[in-house]
Amino acid sequence: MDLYPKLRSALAEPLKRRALHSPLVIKLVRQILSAQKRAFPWEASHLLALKAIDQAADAFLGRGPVVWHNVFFPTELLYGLGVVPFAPEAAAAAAVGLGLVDEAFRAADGRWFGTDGCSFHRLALGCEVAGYFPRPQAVVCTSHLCDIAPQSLALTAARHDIPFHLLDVPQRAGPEETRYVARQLKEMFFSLAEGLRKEPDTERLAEALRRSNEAREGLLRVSRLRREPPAVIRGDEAHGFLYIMLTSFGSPWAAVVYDKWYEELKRRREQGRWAVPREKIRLLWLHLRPYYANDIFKILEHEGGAVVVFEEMNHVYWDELDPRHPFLSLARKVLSHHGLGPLEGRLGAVKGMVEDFGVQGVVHFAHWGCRQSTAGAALIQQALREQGIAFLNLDGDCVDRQKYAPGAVRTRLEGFLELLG
Amino acid sequence: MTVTAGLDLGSLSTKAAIVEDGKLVSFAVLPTGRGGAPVAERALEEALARAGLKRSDVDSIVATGYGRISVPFAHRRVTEITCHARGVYHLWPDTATVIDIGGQDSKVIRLGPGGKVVDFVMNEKCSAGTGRFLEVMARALEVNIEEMGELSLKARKGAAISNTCTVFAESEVVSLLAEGRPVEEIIRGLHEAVAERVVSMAERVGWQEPVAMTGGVAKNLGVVRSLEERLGVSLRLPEEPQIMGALGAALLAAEV
Ligand code: SF4
Repeated sequence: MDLYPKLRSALAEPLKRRALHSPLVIKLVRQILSAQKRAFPWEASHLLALKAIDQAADAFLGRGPVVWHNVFFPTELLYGLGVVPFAPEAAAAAAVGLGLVDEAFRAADGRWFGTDGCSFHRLALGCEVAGYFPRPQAVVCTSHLCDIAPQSLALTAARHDIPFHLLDVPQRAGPEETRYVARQLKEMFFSLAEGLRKEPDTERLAEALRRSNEAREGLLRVSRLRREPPAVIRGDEAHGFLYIMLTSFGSPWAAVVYDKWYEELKRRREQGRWAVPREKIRLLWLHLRPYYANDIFKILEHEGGAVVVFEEMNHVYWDELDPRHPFLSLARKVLSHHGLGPLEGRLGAVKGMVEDFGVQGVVHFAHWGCRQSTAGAALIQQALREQGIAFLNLDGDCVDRQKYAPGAVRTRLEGFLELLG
Repeated sequence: MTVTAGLDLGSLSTKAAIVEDGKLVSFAVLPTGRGGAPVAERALEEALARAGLKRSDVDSIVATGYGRISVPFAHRRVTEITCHARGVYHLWPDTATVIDIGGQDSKVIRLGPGGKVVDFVMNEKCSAGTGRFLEVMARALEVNIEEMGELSLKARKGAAISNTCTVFAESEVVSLLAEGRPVEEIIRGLHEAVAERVVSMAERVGWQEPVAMTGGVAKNLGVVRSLEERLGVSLRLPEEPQIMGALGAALLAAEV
C-alpha cells in the first residue's frame, strides 16, 4: 500500500509537531485517508484507518482528557470513563510508516533509553519527547506480560508530572487474585474520574463492556471464518486489524469494523477470491510483525504460497464480560491472558490455534528486547516439534529497520518453506 | 548421462560442483570478491574444464548461498540449508546433524529420514561464530587464517574470550596481546568461543549423532577439536567441506 508515502508527502511540513495539534492538518489527513479507499485492500481496513484517525484527532485536539495506556490494559475502563485513550506502542507502529523513527530514536537515546530495550517503547518515548504524541493527562498501565511498559510509561507520567496508575496483575488467576485486580480497577476508575473531572458513570462503563462483547463476538466470527481453507485474507493484510485488539475494545466502533470485515471475508469466500492463487502451506504467526517495508510476507505468501492464516495476537482469550459486574469481569479478562503465568497457558493456546486453523508451520517473530514473547520460544518449539509442526524463530525488530538483514531473513524463510515443502 | 551443476555463492568464496550420474566429478572454489553472476560463471567454467565438459553438456543448474538470487542462468534456487543437508546425505546417509560454519553464517541442521531437513537454526545477524569472525581476529593477530587451526593445537589452554561480538572480541584480543599472552592461547580461546556459540545453536535444534561438519571453517582443526570436546563426539569431516553446499545443489539439480 502506497498510502504512507502519500501521507508523508502531504504532511511534510505540517508534520512539524505543533501542526499535529491543528484541526486543519487533522482534517487534511482525514480527507487524504478518506479519498484513498482504493489504497486499502479491504473496505474494513479503510474504515479502521478512518476510525483510528478520528481517535487520534480527539487526542491531538484535546477533545477530552487523554489517557495513555499500554496495549494490555483493559481499554473498556477508559471508554467507560469517556476519556480519550492513546496507546503509545500502537502509535509507535504508525510512526514507523510516517518516517519519524530516526529523529525519535535520537530523542530517546538522549533520555538514557538503551538500544537493548523494546524499540516500541524506545520509539514511543522518542516521539513523545520530540512532541509528536498528544500530551497525556494521566497514564495507566498493567504490570502483566510486558516488563518494560510500566517503567517506560512511568517515565512519561513523571515527565509530565501527571498521575501514573499501575494495575498490579498477579501471575496466577484465582478468586483471590480476581478480587485483588477488580479492587484496583474500581479504585482506578473512580480516581481517574475524579482527577480528570469526569462523571464516574457506571452505566457508561457497562455500555463499554456490552460493546466490548459485541466486538468479541465479531472477532470470533471472523476467526471462525478464517479457519476454513483456503484462506481469503493474507496474513500481511490481517495484521493491520490487530490495532483493534490492542486499543479499541469498549469503543463504539470496534464491532462495526469487525462486522464489516466479516461480511467482506464471507463475500470473498463465496466469490472464491482466495488470498493467494494456490495455497500450499498454512502458517500461524506468533507475536507481532515488522512495521517497516520488508519482504517477509512477500516471500512467504506471494512467492511461497504459504499463507499466514492466523495471528496469536488476534486470539480471543477471555470469556464474555458481564456488564453487571464490570470490575470483576475486566479483572477476569486480564487474568485470563494466555501469556500470563507459567508457559503452559501460552502453549495450550498455541496448540489450540494450530489445530483450529490446520497449520503446518508456526513463525515466531522474536522482537528484540521483548522478553515476554521470546523467553518461551524454546519450549514452544519443542512442544510443536512433538506434534510434527515446523517452527521458525525469526529474530528481528518490529520497528528498528537497522536490525533487519534482508538476505539473512530470506534464507531463513526460504529454508523454512523448503522444510515444509 | 546426466550432468548437473551446483553453484554456491558464499560471502567469501564461490564454489561450483559438477555431478555426473550422481557422482561428483569436479569442483572449483574461487574468491567471491565483488560476487554475482560473473564469478559464478567463472567457477562453473573452471569446474567444467576440469571435468573435460562443456557448458552445453550441463542439463540443469541449481544456485545456492547468499548470492543465489544473482545467478540468472540457474534453473532453480535452493537455500544453503537444504543443499548442505543434501550434500552430507550423499556422503553419509545416516547423518542426523550438520554443522555448517561458513563466511558470514553458521547453521545447525537436523536431518530426518531420507536426509530431509526437519529443523535448522542459523546464527543471528552478527558475525559471531562465523568464518568472518575468525578472519577479523586473524588480522588482529597478524597470522594467516589457514594457520590458525595448527597454531591453536599447540596451546595447552585457551585464553578466555568473554565477547563473541566481533568488535569487542577484537579489542579483547588486542589487550591479551598487550598482556603478553601467547598467540596460540588466544587463537585457541577464539576457537572455543566460536564452538561455544555453535554448540548452543546445536542444542536449540536438539542435535543428535552422527554429526557432520561442513563449510570452510571445518578445515580449521582447532575449531573442529573444540566442537568435538564440547559435543563429546567425533565429527564427520568431508574431504572438501567447503563444497558440500555446491555438491548438494548439483545433486538437487538432478532431482528436478
Ligand atoms: S513487544 Fe514486548 S516488550 Fe515491546 S511493548 Fe510489546 S510486549 Fe512489551
